[in-house]
Amino acid sequence: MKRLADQTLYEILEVREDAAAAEIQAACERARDIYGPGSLATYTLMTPDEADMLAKRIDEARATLLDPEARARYDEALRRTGEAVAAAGGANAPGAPFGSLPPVIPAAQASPPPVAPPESEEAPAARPAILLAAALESPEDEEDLPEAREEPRLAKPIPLEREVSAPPQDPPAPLPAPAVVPPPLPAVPLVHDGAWTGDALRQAREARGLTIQQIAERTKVTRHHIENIEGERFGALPAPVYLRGILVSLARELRLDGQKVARAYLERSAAALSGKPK
Amino acid sequence: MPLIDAPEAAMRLARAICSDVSLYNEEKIVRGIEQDNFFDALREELEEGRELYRSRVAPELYQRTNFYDRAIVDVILKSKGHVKSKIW
Repeated sequence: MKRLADQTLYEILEVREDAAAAEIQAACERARDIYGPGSLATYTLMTPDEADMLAKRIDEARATLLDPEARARYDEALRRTGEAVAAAGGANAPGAPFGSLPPVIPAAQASPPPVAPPESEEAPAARPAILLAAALESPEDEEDLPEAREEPRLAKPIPLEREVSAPPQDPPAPLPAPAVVPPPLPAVPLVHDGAWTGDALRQAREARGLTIQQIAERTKVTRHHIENIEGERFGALPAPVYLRGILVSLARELRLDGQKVARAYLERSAAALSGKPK
Repeated sequence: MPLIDAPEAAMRLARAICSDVSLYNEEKIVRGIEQDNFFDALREELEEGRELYRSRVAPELYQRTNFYDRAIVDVILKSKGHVKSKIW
């Protein structure tokens, strides 16, 4: 995700660059409501400094984008910056305005770079950043990046979140070895009539070849919760609202239907705790 | 465990519960907002959270406040303001 300081005022407000004044006004008010001082929506997500900076940028956006003259000047500056990006021959070229950019993924690796999983909220921001970096490094290879041409022009250079070390240029990097196809996972034993017991979950985990420690690390669920779930020590398990989330996480890791597993196990747990056999 | 009778503590508990609901049900929440069936889709999760909240808060405080419902809006829904939906 781009840093606050690097986002354009339009990106701060999440509006298009050709948005009408009324739309910008509404976006300012919405941003203020969501991110304003004391907002419960962000109080655990941002440090006070970040919240202050965001508030200042929202104010800046309001002052600039709602003033036609100031907005025209700002748009012109954005346009010039965009042209500078397009004209730049390389991030480290002498006099290039982006000389301070961290190392980027070279064009030799122009195939789609590894990015965050699609469900990640950060993926949309990270992907264009890497594509832009590759284009800056070697524009002649742009033909190999059809997606890069489809991306909207970025107003400002986007520094990568972390440094990516560039491989040596000479000799050229060898072609990547063909991906090793992992052996098929053993079949998960079928469970009759959806009775997801602790023992069934243990069998499913073992069928996947996972230890309790491994699945605990993958799901961030503590080991003793997993042991208690598999051991059906219902009295030692957390409240249902938490247990449901834990079960969904475990089931997802075991490639099972999280909703079915959670529902079946919670029913079993509730019946056990109320003294009724299930 | 003694019941919570301080409003601030009850509010914190409600927000903490909703924060966990949000953490564990990200996809479901987004889908519920997009399809305008948030409260139906999350019925079980929200009711389990409410039950935990009710069990920890003094009955009198629970009756005269709506901290849990406010937390649903403030913690779960507001943070998904970027999700495109006709409900906004």
